[in-house]
Amino acid sequence: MSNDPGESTAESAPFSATLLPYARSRLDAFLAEIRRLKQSEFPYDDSEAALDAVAVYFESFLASLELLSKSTDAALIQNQCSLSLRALQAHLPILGLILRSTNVRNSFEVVAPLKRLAEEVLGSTTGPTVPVKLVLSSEWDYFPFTYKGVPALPEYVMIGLPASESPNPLLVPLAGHELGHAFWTRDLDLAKQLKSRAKTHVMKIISDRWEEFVRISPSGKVNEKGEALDDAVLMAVWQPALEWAAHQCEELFCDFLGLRLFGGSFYWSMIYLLSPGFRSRNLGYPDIRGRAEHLTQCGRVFGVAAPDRYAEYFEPEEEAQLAEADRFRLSVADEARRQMVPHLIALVAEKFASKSTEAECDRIRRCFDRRVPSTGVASIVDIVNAGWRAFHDPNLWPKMPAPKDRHRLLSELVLKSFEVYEIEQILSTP
Amino acid sequence: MLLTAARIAELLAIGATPDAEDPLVITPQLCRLDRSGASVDFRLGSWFMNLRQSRMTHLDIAKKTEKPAQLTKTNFVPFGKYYVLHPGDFVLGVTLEWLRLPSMMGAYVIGRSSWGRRGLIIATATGVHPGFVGTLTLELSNVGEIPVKIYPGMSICQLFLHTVERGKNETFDDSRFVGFRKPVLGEIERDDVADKLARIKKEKEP
Repeated sequence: MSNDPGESTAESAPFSATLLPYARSRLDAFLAEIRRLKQSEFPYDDSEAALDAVAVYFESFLASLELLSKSTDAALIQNQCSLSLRALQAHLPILGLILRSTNVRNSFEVVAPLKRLAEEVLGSTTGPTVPVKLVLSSEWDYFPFTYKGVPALPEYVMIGLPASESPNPLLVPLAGHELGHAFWTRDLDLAKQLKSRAKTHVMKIISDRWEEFVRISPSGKVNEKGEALDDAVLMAVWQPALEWAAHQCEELFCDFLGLRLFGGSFYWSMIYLLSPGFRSRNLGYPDIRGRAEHLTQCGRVFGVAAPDRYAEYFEPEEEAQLAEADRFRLSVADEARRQMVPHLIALVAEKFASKSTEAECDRIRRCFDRRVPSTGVASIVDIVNAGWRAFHDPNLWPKMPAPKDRHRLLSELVLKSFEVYEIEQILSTP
Repeated sequence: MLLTAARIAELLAIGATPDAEDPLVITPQLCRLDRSGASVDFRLGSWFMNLRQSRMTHLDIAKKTEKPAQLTKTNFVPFGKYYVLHPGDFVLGVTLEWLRLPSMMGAYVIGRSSWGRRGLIIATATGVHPGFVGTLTLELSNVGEIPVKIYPGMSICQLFLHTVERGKNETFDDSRFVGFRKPVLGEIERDDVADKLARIKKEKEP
């Protein structure tokens, strides 16, 4: 018996006969794990409902495999088994995220108010209105992130904050960045338009740096300036630059949205979590200094002043070790992204309203001075901003000398304020 | 002096003004004050803490080696869900309200008789010191014979407030109250007298 899946249907029949029970068994095990996880204590319905939705998705896979038999065409069996395998690979980490969302280390008081904010933000996508469900979890990965476009959970926003910081409510603004990704995923027109605009910039930059482009292109393929950039071979030369530029633009869009929604606390959350930096660069992101400079530029437009010498909180990253062609592509992507910044800022300003008000922030801050949570708050953003101000105040609770005690009490006050906000929202609903 | 509900309402109104010094604050203030009474109702919060029975053979109250995180398990029950307290069960709960007491005011937490008559004991006349800030930890136990469902947001106990008399040159430091929003097990203070007595007993043993 051959183990080569590429062989003809007749010869691979016994091989397929093995594949099928293996695939069924894997799905059974996955569904059993979901049933086990369902026994957890779920603080919020969305996490539990996510498990149900994933189970339904995989039951349909199992049902489709049940329809196949040894006599089914081997290619079809392989295809179905392959699909189910890839789905398992994509969804297993999601189960982990859902499980961790039930851990009491998480700030559960944040979930309902953040969901309200998510509904508001995602309600303004141009696509069909999809109800928002939120899973806020903690991750064993330092960088906050969101799972995008999970097939079984199209309506879900899933945000993971680093486990060690998940009790820290002052980092909620970083969820604003992750909401940006959810918006980007849902609003397909936006992503398409921005990529098209980025492409225009990439093409113009390549045209301006034609000799360099010719040098990295296959010899004899390019003659005249600007010639046949849509040729399949040449596309392969510049396409990575566009992909990097588009991804960097998405990250900046999310940063600008975070700043728009959360105001000054977004700057401090970023400093807290990311400064002085990690030295090496992820090419899908702007370099960290550039990112900070763009945020400063954006803040000037939004009327949210950045902390003094904001970009200097982050040390420059080391140059990535790239071949000449990739170095060129990266520099093109970086330049295209820089040129996109004014448009991205204008776009975020047009689509989203600022949530922060100075007077409210001051009022809440005075509540914290008296060691009481705030009431009658219009937006959770003001609570977080007031929290950051209190955090930076050296005269906060002078009788309490240990910073650890002060920070703990401040976290408690911010989280209790979130809870009071949610109670007021519930009670004000007729 | 015990404060009437009407006086409590007055003090809460003063405390709600932003510039009030050393105010009485109850947040959120969801219970109506019974104008003819002398207490204010508090509600049940979402956080619970129980002891990890499966990990412990016993609690040695005299030893300070115990670590709350090892002894306890925390649960969060959102609004709309419930916690079932079975007969004989004991769990720490918390008030939904965050309390800030002025330096000249103390309080006692008292269970509601309507609950007590059904077997649910809330607290054993817990004293609250002047200057306290935070939510109040409640000791909930079901001494009845049937399980009781308790819901975050339900009215669970009442607070009696009284003024405090202080000595002439007595100063007040409230910095030890670093409020909590979850139930707190608290530390058992060292008892030198008990330690000495235990030592004498040991020395006398053959």
